[in-house]
Amino acid sequence: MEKGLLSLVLHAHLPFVRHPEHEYFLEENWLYEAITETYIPLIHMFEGLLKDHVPYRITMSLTPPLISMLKDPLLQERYIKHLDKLIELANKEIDRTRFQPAFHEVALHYYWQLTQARETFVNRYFRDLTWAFKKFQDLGHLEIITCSATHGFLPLINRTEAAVRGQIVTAVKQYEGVFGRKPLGIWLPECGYFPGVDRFLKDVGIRYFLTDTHGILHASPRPKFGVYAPIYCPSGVAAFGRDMESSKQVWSAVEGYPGDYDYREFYRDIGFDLDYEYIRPYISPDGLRINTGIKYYRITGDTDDKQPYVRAWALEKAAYHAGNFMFNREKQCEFLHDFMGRKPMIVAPYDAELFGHWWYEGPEFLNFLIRKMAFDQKTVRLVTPSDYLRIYPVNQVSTPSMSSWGWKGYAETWLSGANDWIYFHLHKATLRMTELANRFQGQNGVVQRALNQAARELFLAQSSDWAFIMHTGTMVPYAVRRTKEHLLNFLRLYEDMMNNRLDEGWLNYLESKSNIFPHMDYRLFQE
Amino acid sequence: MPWFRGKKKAGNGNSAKNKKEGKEVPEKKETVNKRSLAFKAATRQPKSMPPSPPAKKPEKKAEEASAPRVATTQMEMPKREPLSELPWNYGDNQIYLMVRDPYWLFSYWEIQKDHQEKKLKELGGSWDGVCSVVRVYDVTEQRRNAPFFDIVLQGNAHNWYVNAQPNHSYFVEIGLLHRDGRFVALARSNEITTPRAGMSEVIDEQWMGIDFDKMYALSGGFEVGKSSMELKQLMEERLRGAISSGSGGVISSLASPVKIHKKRGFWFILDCELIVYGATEPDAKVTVQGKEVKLRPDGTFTLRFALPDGKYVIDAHAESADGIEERVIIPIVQRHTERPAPIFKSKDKK
Repeated sequence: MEKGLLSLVLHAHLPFVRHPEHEYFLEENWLYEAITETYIPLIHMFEGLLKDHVPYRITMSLTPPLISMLKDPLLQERYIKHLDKLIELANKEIDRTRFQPAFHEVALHYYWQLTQARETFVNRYFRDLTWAFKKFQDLGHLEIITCSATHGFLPLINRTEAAVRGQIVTAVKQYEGVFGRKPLGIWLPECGYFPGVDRFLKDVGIRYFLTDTHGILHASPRPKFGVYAPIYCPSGVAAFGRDMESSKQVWSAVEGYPGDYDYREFYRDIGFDLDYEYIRPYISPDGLRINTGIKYYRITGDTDDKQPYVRAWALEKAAYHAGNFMFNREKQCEFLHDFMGRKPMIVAPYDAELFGHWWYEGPEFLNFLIRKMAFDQKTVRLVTPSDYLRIYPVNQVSTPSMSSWGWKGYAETWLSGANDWIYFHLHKATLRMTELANRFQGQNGVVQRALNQAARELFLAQSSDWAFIMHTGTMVPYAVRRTKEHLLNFLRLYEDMMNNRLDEGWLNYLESKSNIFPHMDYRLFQE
Repeated sequence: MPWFRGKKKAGNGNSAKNKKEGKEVPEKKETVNKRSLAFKAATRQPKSMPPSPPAKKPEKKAEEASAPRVATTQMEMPKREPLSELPWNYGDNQIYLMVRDPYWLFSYWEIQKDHQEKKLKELGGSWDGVCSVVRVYDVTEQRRNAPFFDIVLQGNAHNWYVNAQPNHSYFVEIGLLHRDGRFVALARSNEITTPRAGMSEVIDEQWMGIDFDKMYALSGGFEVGKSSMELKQLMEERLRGAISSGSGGVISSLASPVKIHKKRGFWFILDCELIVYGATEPDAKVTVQGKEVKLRPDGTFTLRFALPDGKYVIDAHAESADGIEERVIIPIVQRHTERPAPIFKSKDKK
C-alpha cells in the first residue's frame, strides 16, 4: 500500500487573442506556439501512455478562453498556415545545415516534430484538440477542471456577486458543452482566492479548487495537516494547497531542473540568429524579427559560447530528473506519512506551458515521471484531487486565507501603479451590466443580443492577463489597448441601449470579432 | 502563464535575452528599444490615459501581408466613429475599498462637484481651513466609535494606497475636514478584511494532536513571503512578459543566466553561408553531393549552406532527361577564419 499521494496539476491558459480584422497578428502566435510546443506534445504523451497501458491520473485545467480558441475555425485555419510555414523552414534548415552535422540532427528533429504535430492536429483530431483532451478524460486518465470565464482575478473583480457568479457559471456551462459532464474542480485564476468565493463554486456543483501554500497554512482554524491535506471551506468545497518543495524543484532558479546545461536554450532562436533575407519570410510580415521556435543550442552554462543541442543528452537528463523528482517525493511521503499518521497529499501545480514551451524537455520529463511512478516504485501514487476526496472524504473544516500564487502571494501583481486604473472602470461596467440586465430583461432580438455582447465585452476586459502584462512591463500597449477596447465597446453598448439607438451593424461586427461564449446568458447579471 | 503564458512569448520573449545577450543580435536590440519607449509612454501616464493608438500597427501589417486572404478574415469595420477614451467621470459619488495584501489597501473614488459644494456648506461654505481627507476606520474590534486615522489628500487624487494591519477590518470615508475638527463625509466605502500574515490563532479541538509549528514548517510555511516572493520577484524581473505569473515564464530566463562579460558592451559576430546556384534543362535530374535537387520550372536552382571552417567538395551532377548525357561540376570551397585579438585604441585619438 502506498504511503502518499501526488497530484500533478497542469494549468493551461492563454488569453483570448483573435484578430479576424487583421491578416496577421503577432500575439496570435502565443496560441500557435503553445499548440506546437506544449499541447500537442502532451497529447502525444497521453497517447503513448495509453498504448503502453500505463496507469496514471493527472489533472489539467483548460481555461475557457483557451478552449474557445482551440475550437475556433479561423484560428485553426491560421494555425495550419503557421505550421506549414514552419515546416517549410525546417525543410530548408535540413539542407542548410548539411555541413554542420550537429545542427543537421537538430533540424531533422524539428522537421519530425512539426510534421507529427500537423498529422495529429489535422488528421487525428480534425483540428480540434479539445477532442483529444476529452478522450483522455473519458478514458479515466485525465481530470479536466475548469477556470473562470476569462481568467478574471476574482479577488479584485468581485465588486458585485454577479461579477463572480458570471465568470464561474459561464465557465461551467462552456465546460459542460465541450466535455459532456460537470467539472469536479476549478483552477481559480492565478490561484486567487478570497473567503466566500467558494460559495459560488458550491452553487455550480464544483467540489474543489487549488490555492497557494499560504492559502491553506493561514487558514482558520489552523489546519492540522498543513498543506498535506485539503480543508473544507464552510461551504463544503475542498481547498487543496500547493506543495512548495515539489514546486521549487521544477521551477526554482537555484534547484530547478529546467536550467540544466544539457537542456535546450530558449533564447537562441534562428528568427534572431540567421541572415535577415533568409529568415524574412518566417518572421513578422512587417520585418520584425521574432522567435520561430527553431533553436539549435543547449543552455551550455554561464557563457555566451553556446554549444549545439544534443537531443539524446537532453532526454537522458529528463529521465534522470524524473527519477530524482520521484525519489524526493518518495522520501517526502515516507516522512510525512509517519508524522501525520495518514497519507499526505502532495499537490504540484504548474503552468502547462512551462512544459514544452519554456522547458522544451518538460513533456518528456512528465512522460518519464509517470512511467517510473507506475512501474518503479510503490510509495507514492498519482491521484487527482477528486480521487483524494474519495479516499479521504472526511477533512477538517477551515476557511482559507485570501491569497494568490502571484508575486508576494496576494494581489499586488494585478493591483499596482501600473494597472490600478482599470478597476474604477471594470467595476463601473460590472454595475452597469447588472443595471442593463435588470432593465431590459425579457427582451428578444437585437436587444438580447446586445445584452449578451455587453457581457462578453465585460468578461474580456476582466481577463487578469491584461493587468499582469501591464505590471510586468512587456507588451504593455497591447494589454492597455485590449482593456480599453472592451471597456469602450461595453460603454458604447450601454449608452446605445439606454438611448434606444442600437446599431445592429456594429453589433454584428462585435459579435463576429469577440465571438467567445456563443451561449452567453446576460441574465447571470440580474440581481 | 507560462506563456505563455509570457511574452513575453512571441515577440518579447527575447527582451530578457536582449538585455543579457543583446550583443549577438543587433536587430533585436533596436526593436526592443523602440518598444520600450512605447511602453514608457504608455505607463508614464496611465492616469490620463491617452487615446490608445490601437489599430495603427496592425493596419500596417494587414497592408503588407501578401498571403492570400482567408475568406473568413475579411471583416469590415463599420463606419461609426469609435469612442476613443474612457471617461473620467461616471457621475457617481462613491468610494470603494480593495485589499491588496495583508498590509495594503487600495481605494478609489469619484465625487461630483455639486455634491462636494453642498457638503462644504455644512462646514460654512468656504475652503478656508478645509481639506479633503480619506478617513480610515478600523472596525476589527468595534463598529461603534471605531478608531480611525485620516489621510490628507493632495492634488487631484482619485485613489490611494492605505497602509493596514493583517487580519483587520476596515472601511473608509472620503470627506472634508475642517481644521476645527469637524468632518463631513462625502461617501462611505464597503468594508473589507485583510488576510492574516501568519498561522491562525484559532484551533479546532477536533483537529488537534500534532505539532502545528512543525507541520507549518514542513509545509514550507516559513518560506511564505520569503521564498515564494523571492522566486517570483526573480521571475518577474527576468522573465519580463510571461503571460502567467505562476511559474512558467521565468524558467527559461532563469535557465540562461547569460552574462555579458565585455565591460564595454561592444560586440561583433560574423558567420558565413554558401550559396550554390545553377541552371540546366528543366526536365534534367540534378544532384548535389548525391542528393537530388528540386529545379524551378525554368530549370534553375539555388542551394544555401551554412559554411563552418573546413574544406567542402560540392560535386554536382546534371543528367539529361533521356539519361544519355551527364555533366559534372565540382566546386571546392574552403573556409578558414582567423580571429586576431581585439584592438583597443586610445580614446583621445580622433
